[in-house]
Amino acid sequence: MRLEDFVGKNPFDRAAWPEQITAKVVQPGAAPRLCGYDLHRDLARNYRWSETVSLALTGELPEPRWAPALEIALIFLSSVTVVEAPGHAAVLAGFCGTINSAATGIVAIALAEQARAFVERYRALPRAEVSASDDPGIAELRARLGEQGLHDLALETRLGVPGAAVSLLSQCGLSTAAQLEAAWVMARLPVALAEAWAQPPGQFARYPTQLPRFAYHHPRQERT
Amino acid sequence: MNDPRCPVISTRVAQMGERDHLFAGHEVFAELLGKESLSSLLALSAGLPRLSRGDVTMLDDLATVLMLCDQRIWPVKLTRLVASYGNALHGFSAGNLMHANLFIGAGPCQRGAELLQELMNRLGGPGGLEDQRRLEAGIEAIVSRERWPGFGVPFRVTDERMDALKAHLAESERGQRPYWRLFLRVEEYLLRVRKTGTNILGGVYTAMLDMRFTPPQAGWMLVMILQGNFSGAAFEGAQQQASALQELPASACKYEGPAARVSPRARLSGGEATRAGQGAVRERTTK
Repeated sequence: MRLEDFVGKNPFDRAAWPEQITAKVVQPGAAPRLCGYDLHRDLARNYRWSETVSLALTGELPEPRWAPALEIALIFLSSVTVVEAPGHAAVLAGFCGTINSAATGIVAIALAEQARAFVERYRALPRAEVSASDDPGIAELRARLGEQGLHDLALETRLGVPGAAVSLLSQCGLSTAAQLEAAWVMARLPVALAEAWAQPPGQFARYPTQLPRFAYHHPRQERT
Repeated sequence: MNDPRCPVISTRVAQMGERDHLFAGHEVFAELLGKESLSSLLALSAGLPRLSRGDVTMLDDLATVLMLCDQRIWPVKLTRLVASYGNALHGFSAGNLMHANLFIGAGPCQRGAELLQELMNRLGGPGGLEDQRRLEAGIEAIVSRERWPGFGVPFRVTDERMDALKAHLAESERGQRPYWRLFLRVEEYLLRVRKTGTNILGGVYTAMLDMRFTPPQAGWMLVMILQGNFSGAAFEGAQQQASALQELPASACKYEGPAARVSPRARLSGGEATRAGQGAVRERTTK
């Protein structure tokens, strides 16, 4: 085997490749810019975190009236509990004593999958007139919007509070599945991670291992 | 807890015992220990029956021809980027997530296998392989509808891995199996009509269909036998912790995003941010 028989004779060596990596969102430097806006001297002074998130996700600052709606939507969306897979995964990560970056990765992946599944359901809903809802969470969401003078927003009521919050995000300019899923993960990540940190590492006897139950079905038994 | 909203989950994967454990219908120590290889255990994990020695060898051969992990290949490089802070497992996991894409990995492998199955069904089974008219109509029905994973070779004329696999199987009984023969017929037609060659993904799912894997099993087993490609990048990358991967020099970056601008609120307040923004615009223009 001669190395010369390999080096220079493959597509990576033969093709001409760009010599620089291209940034489309953040202009690097001492005064970094996000989508053209000075992060340190402009956005940090004049905008909320949720508006900065919206800028990153859409490329444009949201209309001023959407700022409180974005905040409210993200807060309502943030309530992920331990009965949901991402929260449950966070609990297990905590019991297993995973290192911080691993716990963050585990929870982020679980949330991203939850977001993908939910947004698929949300976007598959047939268009329909907004119907009334007796969901107290949605009533509270409407009340918070009303307190901000946002009375004219139509909330999706068929998927509970998360659906209503996602529909609110849509009206604030987060229209694509990628934007909605990213907002979902960002809203919930700190909450779910906190569950991981709150568990006692290694004390597995305190974890409800039989929840939910599994039943083994012997494949060969099935065949007979 | 007996809440009917929390039903019992059925599993065929495993059951812990006291002196032995069950895995995919087999006693681990009594039946599998000393008899099964890693490939064979992975096949059992995907719900396949215990593979014959020939099938295990075939899986190992597929893993071998897939062993292309030049560190510049995109999923491999991503593995190395994430591992560059010193944790191989994180790089390995991130690299594996790259399989969730439209072009390579489990999804396209499964879809490619489904399409080859569809063609076989259109032909009425292996007996219809020589019906050229139906074969061509079936291929056209598929490729006019969607991209067929397993066909198309990026950056080179032929996929050397596919060439190697074809040569390896040419003299073997496996090269005469129905799906393999069908795949070669499809290749012959698409090369002639569309100048489209085959890539290794097609070779892998075709060989797996001939081993009676279902398309979902073929997709998953592709991921399993690819692991060697990520292992090397993750392990070496974590050991090295290359600073050039953790951060490139600033000169390596070219910005092509929106031009510098001043936000509406900064403009309204007319403060420092406005002057800073305008300065940046001038700076950018004069460069």
